[in-house]
Amino acid sequence: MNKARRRQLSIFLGLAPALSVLTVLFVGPLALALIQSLGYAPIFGVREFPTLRFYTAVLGSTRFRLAFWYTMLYALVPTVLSTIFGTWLAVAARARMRGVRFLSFFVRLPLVVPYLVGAALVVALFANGGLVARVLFAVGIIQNTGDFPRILFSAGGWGIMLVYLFKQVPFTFVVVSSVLAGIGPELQEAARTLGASPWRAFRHVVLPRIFPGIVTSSLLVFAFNFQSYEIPLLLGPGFPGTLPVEALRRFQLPTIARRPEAMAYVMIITTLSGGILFLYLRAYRRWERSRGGV
Amino acid sequence: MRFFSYAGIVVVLFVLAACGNGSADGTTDAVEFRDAFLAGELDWDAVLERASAEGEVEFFHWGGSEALNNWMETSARASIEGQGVQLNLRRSDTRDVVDLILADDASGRGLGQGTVDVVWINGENFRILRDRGLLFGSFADLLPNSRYFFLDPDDPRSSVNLFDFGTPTDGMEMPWAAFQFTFRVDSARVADADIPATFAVLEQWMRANPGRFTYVAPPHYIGTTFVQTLMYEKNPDGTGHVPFLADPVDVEPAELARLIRPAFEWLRRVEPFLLGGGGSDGNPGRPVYPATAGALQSRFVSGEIDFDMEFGVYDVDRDIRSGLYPQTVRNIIFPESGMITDKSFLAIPSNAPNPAAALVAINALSSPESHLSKLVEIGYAPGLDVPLLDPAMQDRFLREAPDLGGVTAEALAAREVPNVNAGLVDILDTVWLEFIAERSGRDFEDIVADAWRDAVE
Amino acid sequence: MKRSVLSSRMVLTIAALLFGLPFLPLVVASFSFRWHWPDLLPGAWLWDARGTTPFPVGWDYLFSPISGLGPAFLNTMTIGVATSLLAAFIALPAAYTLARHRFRGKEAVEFFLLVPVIVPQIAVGIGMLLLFIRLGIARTYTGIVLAHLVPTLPYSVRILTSVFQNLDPDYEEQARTLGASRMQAFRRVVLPMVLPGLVTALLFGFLISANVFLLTFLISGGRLETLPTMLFQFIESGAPLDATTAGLVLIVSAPGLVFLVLSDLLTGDPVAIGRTTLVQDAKQ
Repeated sequence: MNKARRRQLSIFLGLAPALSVLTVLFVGPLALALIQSLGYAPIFGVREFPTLRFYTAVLGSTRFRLAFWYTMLYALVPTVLSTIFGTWLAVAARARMRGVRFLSFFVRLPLVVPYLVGAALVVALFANGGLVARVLFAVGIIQNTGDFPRILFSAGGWGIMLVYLFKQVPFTFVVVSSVLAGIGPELQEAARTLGASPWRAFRHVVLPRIFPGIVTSSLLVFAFNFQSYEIPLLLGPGFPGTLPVEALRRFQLPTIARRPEAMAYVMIITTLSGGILFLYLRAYRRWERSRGGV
Repeated sequence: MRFFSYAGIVVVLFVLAACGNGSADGTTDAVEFRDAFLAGELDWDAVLERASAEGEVEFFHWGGSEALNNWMETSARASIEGQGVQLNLRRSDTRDVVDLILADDASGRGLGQGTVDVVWINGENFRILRDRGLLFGSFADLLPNSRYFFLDPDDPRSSVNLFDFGTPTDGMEMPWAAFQFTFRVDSARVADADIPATFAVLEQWMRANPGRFTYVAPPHYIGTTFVQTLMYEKNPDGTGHVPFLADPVDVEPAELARLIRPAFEWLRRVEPFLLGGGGSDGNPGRPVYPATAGALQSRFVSGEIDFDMEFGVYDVDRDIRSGLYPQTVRNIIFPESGMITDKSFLAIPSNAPNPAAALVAINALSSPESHLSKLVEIGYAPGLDVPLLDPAMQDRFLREAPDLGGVTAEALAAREVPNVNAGLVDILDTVWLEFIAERSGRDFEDIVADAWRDAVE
Repeated sequence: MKRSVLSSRMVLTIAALLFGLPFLPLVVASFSFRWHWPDLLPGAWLWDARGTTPFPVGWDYLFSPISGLGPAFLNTMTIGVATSLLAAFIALPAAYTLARHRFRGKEAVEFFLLVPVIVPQIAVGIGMLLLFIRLGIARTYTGIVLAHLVPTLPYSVRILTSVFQNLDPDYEEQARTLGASRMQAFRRVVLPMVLPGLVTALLFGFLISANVFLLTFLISGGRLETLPTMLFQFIESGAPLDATTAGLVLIVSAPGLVFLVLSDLLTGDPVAIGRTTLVQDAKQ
């Protein structure tokens, strides 16, 4: 066996377990969803393959359009904010000082608890009858629960986004911190010694080096937010739900013959999220290449 | 890309495997048992014997109530396991249980091979199983404890046991608990004089107290029941619930639209005065429609709204004692036009893994003692019919019932009205979603007609 | 420089308060019996109400066999450990290959391995339920562990890939030139060096599994409760500052807390999770 063949074989053997497991567990169900969305779903008494009517029913609805925009809103805003605050925190916490470990323990706490815990905390604090509103009531700033801004169960989605921030600022913090730890403080200090302002030192010395970390964390954060089900379900306005919420609602439709609409939702969401991820990665790769070329 | 062609083969294999056609009959001996039992050829001892051979029963119930979970683990477990059957309690949303049964069926699992033995069920969920032939059969009057239930079709008192949202039960489910839809207020916040008697008066109160009322969003059953209750009062013919009992197949969509339009116009008109609705300052806001009964109750106990609503007249007493409600909460008689009363049932799916154990479990939960303990411990009104009990037992049901939380049994009984036809529920939910939640500008008649066509076809 | 350290400490302290303090009211709430609007402190405490309630409430309910907390906790642990071990086992060869080799279609493979992270679990979950029923593993531990592999495996591959990327291939080369076989080089040289990363990958896999709600919910069909599915039901129907919900939140947070302490002690590195989740080697 020549060297090239052996290399090929070892690549194939190395990748085979992971790829076959994901194929069976991930592509299989999606293929089933695809076929059902196109009208072959004997389980729901639907046998009209191929038809696009479930897709037209979904895409033509106000419900889908609204769900799409709210899903984007709830996913994007926390991504941007947690990227900014998480990076800032990581840079701020970087100074070698006593107590970093201890303090950062609390900052990392949200990272290791389920999102549902974040939801419970947000409800306890920010419900209109929650603790923050009670404090404001006690000091006379608000007269009743209605005066407190509506954070939960509103289309603005502040409650949803707060839960995301609660989890994702720490996530970004940890990812960026780890990159920072890898590059060491010397460069930045050298730039400062040469007279650069803190911002310029950050912008031109630190930022380019932590950028891969920022891309990674923001990608994962956005990806999660786009697909989150339980948080928008619990803290959202009910109508409109996000895309995943609407998908499961379709699946639970009492009119069983319409359930392939859920599968159409599923395929549309899959395409959307896959597309967004792909574009994002490609843009990043291009940027990276152009930087490498300089 | 060699990899992707490989993936393609795997996928096709799996899809083929998953699409196999369902509706197998099941294991031979389970089917023989079913046929013999339903034909009345088996005595109860034979059922008991088979049940203990099966050994266990998979019991699915909605798990959102600590009170019920507690009762199931203690009283229900004791009475079922006393019959030599191990009780496996599964807490799950009823709709998910129905999906489980459907999925089992689709993958070819018949009697003796499925997942669900007993499910607590009613309304559309029952209708789905019934329409698809996924129920065990007409077992109710074959249980020894059926003597405590009015099941004779010729007796008008049986109708609440034999019709579930207008769907004939045909004895394929056993009545388990009775519920009346009641509204509650916190008397510390709403004076007795302000308690409304009609939706018209409620509307006046809402305009005077904007943001202090809301209801659960359909398709949650509490939301749908709220809309139904409203429809009965706003029925333009003044005939209350009567026209809504008909199967929608037999009603022209235009006629249906005429009957329900006043209720939906009321719902739209009051939107600015609901929780988060923005009041009358011209800003419509976006009202908050809680997704579940629990979420509505949370808004109520955290002081955001002044009215709570749920099925169950004894809840107030129970929830005050468990610390959920403030001590000042009470039931109210509202609306005068009728407070929907229905029963919920225990059913056995056609693919129950342990059919005999299921029958034994349901029989055990149909005893007067079991219904009494359910009433006393967690305030679930009995599903059996008290007049059929011996006088001593009748007396206990009367004496030991929990407090009615500020209303009288007579006042409640006088306003009992049935649920709408199960076929109408989906239509109402669809209309609500489009007309209220989506604020569709389409003609109301068209919305109803489309919803009607979806549901009827 | 001194001023910037001071303000850094302030920023971090504020952040620590923001993220840590919200747990405090839940501790108080978990011991309350009645805590209604507009009270700033509970109107009655759990110990005042004992014996007067129709069924145990708060902590008493959670620790009674009725709540099902014990089985849910055990299920979460069992499934989490099994998932993380299996994921690491499957991911190891793939990660090594991706870190060491360039080949045609690598980008596609990387993309494929990443997609499960962002495709809604609802999308996979529904079809998976139908498949698993057919295979007879729906509503079993096996089914749930396999389902959890979908969100876990991409992370395991990614974490381990970056571990191998950070590892200087020269050591391996040197071992090979000194006569070690490929297998020996891997076992004696590579493995000890990746062990800390591997432990992190296992812990992280466990955490992901312990956090998954939807796939568990769909595949378990109510038959196997885990901590997240249990908590979901409580949040769905619970009032803010409800005692039982508060207690459950604290219990659900416990494994993560233990994880945090353990990983700090094991790796001595507060940001180990972050280091190993990177797609790109940050040093380039």
